[in-house]
Amino acid sequence: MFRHQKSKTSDAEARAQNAEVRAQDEVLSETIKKVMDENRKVLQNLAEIEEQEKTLAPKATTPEEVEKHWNKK
Amino acid sequence: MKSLAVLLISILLVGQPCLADDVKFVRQGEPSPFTGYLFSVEKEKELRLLDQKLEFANMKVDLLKKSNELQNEMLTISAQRSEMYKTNSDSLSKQLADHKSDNFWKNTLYFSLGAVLSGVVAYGVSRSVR
Repeated sequence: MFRHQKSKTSDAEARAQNAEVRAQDEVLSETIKKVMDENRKVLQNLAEIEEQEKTLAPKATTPEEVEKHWNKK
Repeated sequence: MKSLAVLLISILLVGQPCLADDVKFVRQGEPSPFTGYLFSVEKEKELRLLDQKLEFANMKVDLLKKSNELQNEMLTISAQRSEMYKTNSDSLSKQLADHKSDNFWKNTLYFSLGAVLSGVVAYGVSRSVR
């Protein structure tokens, strides 16, 4: 009887433990998803910059614009 | 005319911050406002392009650093997740082993009780037959 009760208790404990692990896993997987999304945006931004870099050419043509470019630094 | 349009750029090194209004446009024959280095229009364009490339390279470095940080964060979380599953698995394995051990003793007990009961019944029957 006691053993049966003990078995039931350990079974309930195992279920509770599993439920807790599943809840923690959901939180972690949600966090990973957010971080991955953020990383995807960063990489997308990087790809856009690389694309812009391909067509890079000095745009300013007037002396004022050129002066402005160098003097802003 | 190309030779008329010259630019005076006073910088020590390309890409280094320079003082405000250090770069002045001057025409040929005009007195230069200060002592410095004179670049042709083409050379200025070339340097400006390099400067723009440097800006892009810095942006890319910043983004790659950010991406690296995020990937490290993902690795840390994944390791945490893996550790959590390992701990849970170990704990459940131990519980299962304990449970199996309990079952063995329970079965042995029931078998022994059955044997004793059979013996008692056999004994009773043999006594009543005599």
